[in-house]
Amino acid sequence: MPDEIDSILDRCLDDIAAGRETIDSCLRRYPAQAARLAVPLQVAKRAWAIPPLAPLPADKRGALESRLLRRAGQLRSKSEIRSTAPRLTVWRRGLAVGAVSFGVGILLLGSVVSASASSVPGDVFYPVKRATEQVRLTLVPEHQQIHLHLEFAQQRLQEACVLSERGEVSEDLLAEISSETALVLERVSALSPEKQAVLLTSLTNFQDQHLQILERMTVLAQGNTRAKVLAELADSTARRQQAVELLDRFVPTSVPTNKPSKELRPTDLKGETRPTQANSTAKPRLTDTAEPEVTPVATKTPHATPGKPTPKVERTPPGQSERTPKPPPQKPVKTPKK
Amino acid sequence: MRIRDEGQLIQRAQQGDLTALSELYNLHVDRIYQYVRYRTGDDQTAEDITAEVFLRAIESLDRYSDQGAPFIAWLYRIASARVIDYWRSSKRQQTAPLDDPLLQDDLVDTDDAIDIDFLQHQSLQTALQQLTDDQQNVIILKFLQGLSNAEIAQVVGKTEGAVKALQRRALEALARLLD
Repeated sequence: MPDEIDSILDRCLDDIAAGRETIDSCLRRYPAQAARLAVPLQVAKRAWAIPPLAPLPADKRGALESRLLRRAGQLRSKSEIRSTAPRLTVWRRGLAVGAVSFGVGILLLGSVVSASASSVPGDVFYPVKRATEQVRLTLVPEHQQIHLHLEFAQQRLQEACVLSERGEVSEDLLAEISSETALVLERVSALSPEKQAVLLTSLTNFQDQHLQILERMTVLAQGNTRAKVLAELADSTARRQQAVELLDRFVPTSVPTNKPSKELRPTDLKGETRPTQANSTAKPRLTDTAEPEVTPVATKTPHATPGKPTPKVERTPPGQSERTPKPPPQKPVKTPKK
Repeated sequence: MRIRDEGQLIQRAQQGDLTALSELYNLHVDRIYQYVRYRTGDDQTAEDITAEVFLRAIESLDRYSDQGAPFIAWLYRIASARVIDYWRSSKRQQTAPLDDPLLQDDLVDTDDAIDIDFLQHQSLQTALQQLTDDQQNVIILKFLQGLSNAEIAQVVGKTEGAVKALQRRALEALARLLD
């Protein structure tokens, strides 16, 4: 049996190695297995007789030791770094990566939105600016959307102002300003009287600026564009008149004029504040007395540069209920010829 | 060194104690080197593989756990695997026939002072390399390095009974090769 011969051979090997037996004594002890034991025992004895190999030379041993200890030092440093870092499970790590990615995304989005704030049509980020406005419009309650429409009109006017400084006139922007102000006028009656007064004051101030920009654009624009600017000037003047009438219901003695008190620049449109009673009264006041009422129509002023159009006012018969802004004295206008 | 002391050394080495690591290295490097030298038959290769064995051991020392097997058994297992890789990658003929006249002439001619022990050593080593990996392990570990059957069983991953059977077959195969 293999197991038996293996055990007997192993026992003989142990005894010979320990000096308790010799090969011959083992073979005599196990005569039935002697034939199978003899050869393995002889080979084993021969193997035992071989002197051990020389150890690793001292210089190589030392060099290897240095190499190992260096490596161990490197591993220990890495281990220390790992142990000081917070250990995250896989899902927590995923969550952390997700959170960081989300944060970075928000920051990037914030940066893009911020960069788009001063953009004008044709800029890379302008679509972002417009999309952001639409998002804001959908996020605010309906009764507050009117304020956004006024703000958007102001934005478009600012953009138009920037473009005009570059010598460009955007018909689209002018059309948008008109539609936004029209929306404000249309929905203002839904507000409380106090809020209506405040909003209409802001609106008329804005309209003053708008009219001034339009006047400037009439110089820049040519051909069909100029005709559209003039038409926009007339429409805007009419809407301002409408706003003034509405405002007079609440503050009949303090109505803003159609002329801003200073030269308008694009930066003036930023951070616009609502006029106070004091600064409103400092401006020329609209009346419904002997002053002739005027209706804005495109025309030419006698003192203007040849070819420079300005808003034109048309006198209306005395006693007519419609109120119109008093035209600025330095810019007399003629009644248009239709 | 007692096993308990070696266990403490291992613990200290696992905690990054380089002195303990140095002690462990010096305790075992010669046996590992000789084992690899027997398995490969070449000094330079043995040095290289020995270095690999200890580098591997250091890199995975934190995963070593004392489960009854001595630390040297773990080192032998690493060394055995590296030797197998070495032979696989080099695709070398593990040995030339013992009666190869070129080998015999080369051995004799290179050094007139070579003694019979050296020749026996060379013959045995050449024959060893024709055995299976497990048979080589048993012969080297038991007869050249003095490990017990239990220790060999831990190195080769077999039972003591299997090691006894392996031992007999290895000796019989070696006898045939040496004849």
